[in-house]
Amino acid sequence: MRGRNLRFWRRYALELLGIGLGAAFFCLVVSAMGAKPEALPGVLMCTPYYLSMGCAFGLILCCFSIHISYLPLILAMGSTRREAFWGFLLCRLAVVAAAAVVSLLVWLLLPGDVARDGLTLLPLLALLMLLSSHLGSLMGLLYQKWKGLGICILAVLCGAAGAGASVTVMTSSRGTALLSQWMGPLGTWIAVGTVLWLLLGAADLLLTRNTLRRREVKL
Amino acid sequence: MKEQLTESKSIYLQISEMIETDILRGILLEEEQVPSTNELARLYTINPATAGKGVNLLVEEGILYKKRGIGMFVAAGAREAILKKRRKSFEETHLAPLLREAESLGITREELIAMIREK
Amino acid sequence: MKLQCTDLVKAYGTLHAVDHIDLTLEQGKIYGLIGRNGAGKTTLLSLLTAQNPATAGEVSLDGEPVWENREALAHLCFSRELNISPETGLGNLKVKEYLRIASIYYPHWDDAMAKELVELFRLPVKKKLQKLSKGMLSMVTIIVALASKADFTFLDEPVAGLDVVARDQFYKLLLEEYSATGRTFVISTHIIEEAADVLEEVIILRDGKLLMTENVQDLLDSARYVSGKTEEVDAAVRGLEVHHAESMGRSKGVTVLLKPGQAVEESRDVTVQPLSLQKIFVALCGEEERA
Repeated sequence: MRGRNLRFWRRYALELLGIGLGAAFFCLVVSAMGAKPEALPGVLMCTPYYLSMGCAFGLILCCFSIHISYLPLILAMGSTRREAFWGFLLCRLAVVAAAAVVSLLVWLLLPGDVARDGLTLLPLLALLMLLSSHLGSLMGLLYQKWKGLGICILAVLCGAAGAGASVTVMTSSRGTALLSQWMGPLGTWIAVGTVLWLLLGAADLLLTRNTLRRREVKL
Repeated sequence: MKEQLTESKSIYLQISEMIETDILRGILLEEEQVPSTNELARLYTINPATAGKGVNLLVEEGILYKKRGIGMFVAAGAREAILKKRRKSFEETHLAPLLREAESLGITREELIAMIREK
Repeated sequence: MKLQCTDLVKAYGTLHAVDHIDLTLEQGKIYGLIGRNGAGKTTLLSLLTAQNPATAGEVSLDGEPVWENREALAHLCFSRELNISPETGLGNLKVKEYLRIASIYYPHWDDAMAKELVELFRLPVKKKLQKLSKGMLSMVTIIVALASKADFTFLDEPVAGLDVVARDQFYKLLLEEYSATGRTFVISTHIIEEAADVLEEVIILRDGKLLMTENVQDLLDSARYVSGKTEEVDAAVRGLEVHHAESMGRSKGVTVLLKPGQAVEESRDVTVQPLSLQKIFVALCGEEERA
């Protein structure tokens, strides 16, 4: 992981983060349009949720397409498979970390009920993004083996992510009422999420590494 | 150096023959520098090694000589040497095919000599 | 510097796309890689540059294995033929972005040269790859290959889809870069006639096997087309390596490859002619169909 590899994946991570920020901005605009002026700070406080959703969405799509187009491309240009593997992994982690840090900053700068709940929920949001990246990547792997199936699952996932995003947009302005229902069993959620993350993550990384080793470049 | 390459003969032979012809015609003078292999390669879109092979043939025959770090030059007496060489090979390159063709057409030696006299 | 492969195999099931190939590529030569469709040219190039894993055998640069070797890979560039298929998603990449990724990955990338070539070819850099014609895609691969400045540069069908002027332009550019740097180039092509004069060595593949690697001029010097009356031709080529015999009535034509010291005598009944590289190739690789 030196020089050229870092430069490529940094660029790609920035692009991915751009997608997340763009999605967040779009959601903000949509929810701000319906809101009264005095409710605007409340809307603004929800930015981290939008950002997380946006990044999760972006991660699913990008991790999918990295398998399909970018990995073969950089292998064709002389990247080693090891470099590609680590670059891909670090790129995703960097995006999740950046989104989490931005969320943290927003909630620290705009304290209140939403922020308090948000800070508690932050691990869950991070888990959600990590899970999305692994799901997207696994779909990419599936697509390579069985084209149709991968596309179907990707469509379902994107639909689910989209639905999730719109639910968040619609409900978040109603404040913490909905969230409080989540807060109770938060520990359970995090535990479930972590287990899922470990399982999917292990499967994804193992499969990605093994496929990369045998990958044949076609452009 | 402006002739076109043909496919009927090795390119390096054509290159060396073109240089020779240029010397015979006074396009290249004795003690004058000849184009470098890279220039020849670019001019004819051929591999420099091939052009070099053609040039080296002439070096071996003493028609060109190398000035270290400068390039290839036409040797003194090159024109005479080329004339001598071409006269010597005239029989093989021109006369032999003529006789072969005459033989297959049933033209006798006497008839052939008569034809040459008439020209 | 030397790129070498020993006993290289790539098998897809029972099909051996590359079948036990030993090959040494030396620094400072222009090689031509020729073979019929499916002879294994692209597969061989992919294996030599570690873009495909080999089933068996090894590729090494100066004795160091190339596979997963950053330092070795930094000296290699295989500018693949771009066949933009919709499923790779690469078609959405703009020419500019493709070149930028190349500039990131090739350690000796010459950006000034890339820009110059883009202008020379009048390539629309803001267009997506999938909007480019076959010829324009070839130009992109040519630019990447030349600007990569890699010591060993491989080009797969670089002139596919280019018009005759652009093809000539490519060979001139190639020779210019070669004269200036002494880089090694390996070029696969089906338009043998046009490439023949530019090549120093030719590598011929047949059915995944290495048929020969030869100096082009030596090969041309050794090949003769002998034709005439069948018996006379047979007598003239007795004891020589004969390929691709064709008969018509009482006449016969054969291609012979002479070994040093051998010769074919031209006579009243036998014509002996030199052959072009393309004709030699057809004689060597076309004969299995005639059986």
